[in-house]
Amino acid sequence: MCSVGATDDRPVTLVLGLGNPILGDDGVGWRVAEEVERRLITAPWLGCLAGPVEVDRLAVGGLAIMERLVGQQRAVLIDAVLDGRPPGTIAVGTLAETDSRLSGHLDSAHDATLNAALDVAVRLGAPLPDEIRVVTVSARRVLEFDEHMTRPVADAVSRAADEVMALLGQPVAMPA
Amino acid sequence: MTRLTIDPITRLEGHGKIEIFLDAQGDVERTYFQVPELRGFESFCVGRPVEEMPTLTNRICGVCPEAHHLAAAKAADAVYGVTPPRAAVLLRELMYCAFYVTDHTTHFYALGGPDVIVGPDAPVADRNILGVIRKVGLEVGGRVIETRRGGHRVVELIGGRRIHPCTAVPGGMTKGITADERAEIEAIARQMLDFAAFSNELFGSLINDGPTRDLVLGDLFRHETYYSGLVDDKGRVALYDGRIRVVAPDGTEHGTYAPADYRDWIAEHVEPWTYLKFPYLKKVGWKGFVDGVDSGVYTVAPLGRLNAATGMATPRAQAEYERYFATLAPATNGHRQLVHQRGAMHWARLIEMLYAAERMLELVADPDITSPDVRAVPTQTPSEGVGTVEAPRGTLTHHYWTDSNGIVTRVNLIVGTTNNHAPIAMSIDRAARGLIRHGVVVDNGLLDRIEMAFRAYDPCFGCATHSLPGEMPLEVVIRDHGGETVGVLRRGD
Repeated sequence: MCSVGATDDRPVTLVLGLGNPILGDDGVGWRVAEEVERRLITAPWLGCLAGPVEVDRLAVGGLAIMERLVGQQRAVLIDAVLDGRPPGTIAVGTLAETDSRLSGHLDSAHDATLNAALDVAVRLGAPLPDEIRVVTVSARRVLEFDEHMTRPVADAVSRAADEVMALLGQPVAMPA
Repeated sequence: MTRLTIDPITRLEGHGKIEIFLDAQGDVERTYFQVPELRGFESFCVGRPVEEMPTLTNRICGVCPEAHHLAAAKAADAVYGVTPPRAAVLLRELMYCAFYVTDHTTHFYALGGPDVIVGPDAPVADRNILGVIRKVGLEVGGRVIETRRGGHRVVELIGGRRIHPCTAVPGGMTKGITADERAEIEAIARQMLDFAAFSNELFGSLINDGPTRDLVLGDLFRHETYYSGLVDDKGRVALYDGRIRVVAPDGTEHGTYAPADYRDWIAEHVEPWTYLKFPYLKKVGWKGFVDGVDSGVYTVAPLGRLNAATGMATPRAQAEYERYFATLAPATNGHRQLVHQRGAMHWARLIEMLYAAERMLELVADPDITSPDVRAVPTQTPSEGVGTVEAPRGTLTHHYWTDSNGIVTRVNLIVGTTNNHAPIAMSIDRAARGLIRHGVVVDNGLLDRIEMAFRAYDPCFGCATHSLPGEMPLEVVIRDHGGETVGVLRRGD
């Protein structure tokens, strides 16, 4: 986990890489988060940010992700999806647009979906991010233990990091 | 023959599914429960230093990393023939009990428990944590979150990280806890105990409700199998360490063995239609998916643990244990009876939650808990070792072989849910047979009951599959004997 510009009083953005880092393409969320982290500690990028950034990685389901999001002002989630599109395809959207296609780690037999978990947080009055954006990378091989991703997914890491960095340069969309 | 296919709709659509074959009369002939397998974990581990295994195996899935972490650490202890100092054992068990309270809380309030709390006849859209909050109040939802937060905090204090602990190593722990940390854990344990007691009282009030009582006590999900679980030296439920006790369906003891001897007691049956194996009792033998004393099928997890044991090691859990058996399986002619209803798994889980919270308070009060003596450095040449804990979803066994340098040469894992694979398949089959007669009752009521049969076990195939859906949206595809689709049912249609 790393924080950049943490003393800044502008809204903090949490970048959260999701997935299992030892399950082939499922680890792409972690790899993109690592790439974002690497870029953030390179000084020239700091001027491009709309505010402070915190980067973390999780291999858990909806409830635990929700708990990690509580108290955050903005979040960018990065995860693998099996959506039938060519491996390495990158998409950027909102949680509502992508939740049903997100990683199994958001939706296991012993967990709730992230959207359901966020509903719980809302009902409990927990402070959630004003904005949650999702960057997905279409995966191919997620059922075999491997620290390496398939070539097209590995090749997408840098481009997906570009998308995250672009989001980090945008001001937080505050609710109306 | 008509075939019904129930597919969980997930990002892994088509990988996990239930298929129901009907005979010419429209009755259930056979039900197949299929799940995919994550491949290659054993080969993934080969060639790595065995001391990496506790942090590597807890990445198998995000559901029970603490169980894998500790089973791996115990196996690594055995590989090196090293006995951790007492303080290290106390810390491991304390962390594990906090994890147990957290995990069982999650299941009861957010996953399978809503079938009981909200009621089995409630709309499926209400049988989730949101429905629970509507039924029992917002404050309870807040206590669920508070309990989970407390559990994560204890894991962080002892295990070094909130989710994937990293401090258990061959010979003990990498760190101890301070007096301030001990005090913080004690406060969390008291909150957990209060909530566990409340949860048991809540269940006691729900069991009188007709539909819920039918779900828990009814024969729809009843199987008379063997039961298995870790017990302490007095035969009481143990979660972190002990011997494995197995009882027959009539309650008589089948045997008790050291976890390292598991291969003398457990064998694995293979079916051609699923990747996952079906463990069974070797000395009884595999007779198929059938109940009874002649069938080697056994059940683990809360139902199995409470049946296999003779009691609970803490007072409030013991009182609840006695009430559980008096309510569900009263002794006859002085002979103890077992609880065979799968719906009782929910109640058994809450009794374990109470035990784990009580046990936390015992452990945190032990003067050795803050001892800095938490590591015995291994000095023996490594070779082979077995580590076993009771994971929330059943007995978890890690077995490693290494060369003389401690490099892993072979791995065998038997994970919690896999032990219950045969009973789960049998419960799904039972639900289908009870609800499909002469080709009718093929509707969402069927899907609901099959889901409940599945969820009561709190299955997690994360160790053996990538995922199955928490909400388990279902699709039923009806095919004729030629394989053509003749109808599709989806929830909400």
